[in-house]
Amino acid sequence: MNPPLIVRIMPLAMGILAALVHWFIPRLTRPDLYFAVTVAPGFRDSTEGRSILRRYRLEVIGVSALALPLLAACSLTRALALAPLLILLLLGGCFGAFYRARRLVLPHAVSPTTVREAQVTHGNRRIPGGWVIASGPFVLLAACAGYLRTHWSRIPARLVMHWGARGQPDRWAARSAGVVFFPLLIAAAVLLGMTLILYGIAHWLRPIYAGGPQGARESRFRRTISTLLLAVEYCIALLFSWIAIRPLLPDPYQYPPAAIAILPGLIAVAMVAILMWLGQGGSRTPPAQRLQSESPKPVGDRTDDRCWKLGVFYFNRDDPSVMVEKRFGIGYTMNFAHPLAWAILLLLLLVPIAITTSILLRHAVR
Amino acid sequence: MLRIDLASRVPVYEQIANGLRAELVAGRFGPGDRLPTVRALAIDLGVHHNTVAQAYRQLAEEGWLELKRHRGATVRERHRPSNRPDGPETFARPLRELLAKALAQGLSRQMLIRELMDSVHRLEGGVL
Repeated sequence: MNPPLIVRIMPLAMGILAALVHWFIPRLTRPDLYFAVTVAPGFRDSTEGRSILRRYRLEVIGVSALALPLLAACSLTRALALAPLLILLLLGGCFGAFYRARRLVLPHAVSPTTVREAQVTHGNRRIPGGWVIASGPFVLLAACAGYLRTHWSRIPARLVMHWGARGQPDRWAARSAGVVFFPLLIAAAVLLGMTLILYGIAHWLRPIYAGGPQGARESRFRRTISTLLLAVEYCIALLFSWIAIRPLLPDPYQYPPAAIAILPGLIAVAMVAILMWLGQGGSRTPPAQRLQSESPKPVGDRTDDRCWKLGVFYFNRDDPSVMVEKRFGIGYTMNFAHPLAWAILLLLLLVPIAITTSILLRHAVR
Repeated sequence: MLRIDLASRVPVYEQIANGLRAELVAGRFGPGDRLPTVRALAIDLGVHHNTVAQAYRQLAEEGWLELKRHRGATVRERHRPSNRPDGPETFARPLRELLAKALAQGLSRQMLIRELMDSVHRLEGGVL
């Protein structure tokens, strides 16, 4: 039986979004960073810079022309299981294009400025809305757990664990604390990881500019990304609370797996659109000419190119920051030389790890 | 705004202490005000925590700051010390060297005097 159309076209939509994002990203970074390499601010508009961009985009078109029709074919046939593989192929191809472009830019690298600035103010780093708003999703999960505990006798003896592509239940489990509270525990782990990121953006992130109009733009971007993250946290808390208390809800509210498939996609698209509109290096970064007049050397992100492994993974033992601005992409990444970065990553990966482990264990028992 | 240059020959902790002292002399912080934590300032500047801690310790020894565990650095009430006998010689040499460098780079005598007087007025407009 074929899954609903909305589920079938989701991988294709994700593929198109990935291709579009990769097309625009080189122009969304700061003018003194090009393919994750510190360059003179005018380099990207030079003949060499344009030629590298053209070559990169041709490669992105090539890999998209290969992967997207195959994804479309998957959507129309029963081979939907191949879709994740094709998306990985698309992302890998785009990364290959980026890596080749980066190697072409590296000979043009210049050293960033050695000047560092900081605002000498206490207590200017806060999560939007403070801890009251940030603790909301956890309060929701706790309330949900309390509700389940007090209505334990009303929970059916058999609980649906999985739905088919059409939304029909096809796997059940006996009622137990582990089964009933499992969605809430998973959500709590993910929310903990996200809250650490939220805290990290406020406290563990080094701004590129400490003041002036660039500093104000950066701070606005930081507030927006934190607010979006908070919104996603509330969505996750609501979704998993609904999954947990679903057995106690009347029939019409027990559904819809289709919504579960759509919601993360919609959130991802909205986040990418808003962040691209805000512009990692668009509205937030001054034009190249102004940058040049302000600093004799490129400001970049003041980190050494050598600390950026493959151009995307930041590893710097001398840097106390846990989070830094991405050099290629929108938003922030972590300093993988910091143990906290690994703890956050582990918490965020807990859901796929837990789900995969439970599936593997179930198959092993069978 | 605190500014340091990692390429400078002046040690980073000293640059931090100098920058903070300038802010304190100019009166941007009053007694009881709290400075950023060592960790926060180290992250902002991208330097090791110990470097910032060393700068804070130096300012604490000079009587500018009070350091308390888990509470960070608080600005202390500080009275202007009396004129030390070795004071002029301590500052005259680096000042002479700086002036020589500026003159060698082609800056005019009038410009240097104006800049020096401006700086003193700006600083004396503060707590001292």
